[in-house]
Amino acid sequence: MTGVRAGLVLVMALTLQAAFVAEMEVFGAHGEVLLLVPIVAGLTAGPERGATAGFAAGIAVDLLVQTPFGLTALTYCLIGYAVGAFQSGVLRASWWLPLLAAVAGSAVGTVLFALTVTVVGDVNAVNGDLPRIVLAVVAWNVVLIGPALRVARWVEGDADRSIVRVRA
Amino acid sequence: MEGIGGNEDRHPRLVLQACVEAVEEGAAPGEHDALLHDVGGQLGRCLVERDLDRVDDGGDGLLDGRPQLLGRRDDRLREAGSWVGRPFADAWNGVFGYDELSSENELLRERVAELEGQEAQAQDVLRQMEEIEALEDISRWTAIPTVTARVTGGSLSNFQHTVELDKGSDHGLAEGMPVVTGAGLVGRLTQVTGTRSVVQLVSDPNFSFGVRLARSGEIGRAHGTGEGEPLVVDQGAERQVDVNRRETVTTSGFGDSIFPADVPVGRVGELGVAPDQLSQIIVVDLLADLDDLAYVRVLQWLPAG
Repeated sequence: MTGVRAGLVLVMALTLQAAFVAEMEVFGAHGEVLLLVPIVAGLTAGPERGATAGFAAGIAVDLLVQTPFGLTALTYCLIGYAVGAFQSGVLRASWWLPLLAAVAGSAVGTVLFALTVTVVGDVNAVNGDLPRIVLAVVAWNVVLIGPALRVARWVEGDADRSIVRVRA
Repeated sequence: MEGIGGNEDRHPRLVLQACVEAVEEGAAPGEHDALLHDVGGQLGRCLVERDLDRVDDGGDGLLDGRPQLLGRRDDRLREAGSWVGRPFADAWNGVFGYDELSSENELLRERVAELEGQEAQAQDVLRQMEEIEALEDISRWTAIPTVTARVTGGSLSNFQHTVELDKGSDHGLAEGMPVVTGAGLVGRLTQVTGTRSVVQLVSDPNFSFGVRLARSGEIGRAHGTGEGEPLVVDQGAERQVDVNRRETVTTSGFGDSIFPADVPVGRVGELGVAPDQLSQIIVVDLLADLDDLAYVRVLQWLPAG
């Protein structure tokens, strides 16, 4: 059941990105809401689930872009694992933790992807446009982190109303 | 002198003085006669206040109304006069203005003949150019068959400068084909499926191609600098070459160029000197608006090799 819900959410997120977010520019760039998938998965279900969700979301993106196949999956997988690992080390849930995860995960994920595509894809992605792109991605994900967390809890079937679940 | 005057001092000199003052002040056009009314008013003559007023008003009205009277009937008279007099006026002008009209007509005929001659020469030049192009196997890009496609969307990634088209190999498209609009160059096809294709825009920083300055003939290599930004020619343009601002820039088409020759790209904007001091940097403002693409044309042309 979790897998079905996750697949449905992934399709909806991809549709939202392609039909809406990609057409609306902020700071001269558009958001990447699919990067929220590994972030919220890591926050709600830990590093393994975050990595798995990130890989699936990244593969979905790679199917629709012309950058080297697999780079997005690799980046999202790493971000999902990192956010989940960070969340696991938190002793007490805090209201600012999702915001911090959204900002840091989005910024690091965007920069990491730019670096890898520059090295692997013979594409000069590390240029003067990168700060604007990071700002746009962070802005979108900060706005959507709240609803995304609710969706993630629904996928996990978690009735707990706490913002994040702190693992022992 | 009692009984003659009214409210004044009853001194005839004062009455006369009042008349003189009234006359000196004079009556403005259309206004009541000051002498008649002022003096009469002072003397308290009701006759002046009423009956003579009417006479004065009538007289003034008659005089004042004359332009209106003529104004209403003037148009009709004028029309009637024109209708009657036009044949005579035409005859008059025909007799006494014939020479001027004839010379003007001759000048116009001469000008028309000159223009017809220039058109014939231009057609001949065009024909000769086509013959030379055929001999030298030079193809003009405007003669290349095209496929019109609709832009369906942009790229999902911030690190790509691409757009998608609603046509693909089923419509005769193939990877590497140039894409243009009515204004100029847009990019080239990088991915083609049966019903969709992806265009890499010339604004992509990772995209470079050969260009030529139309006036000076200078050859250089241009590359994109990002979305909404102009192209930069920083290779090949020698510093001593005189480059004019707003000079047209086209594709060079030389060697292994990925575009056919003479496709309009943009116009020269800013100029600068390269760090090596040997070449100049030319900023090229694109002719095609890459931010507002709706329909494009794909040239069914592939580079050699």
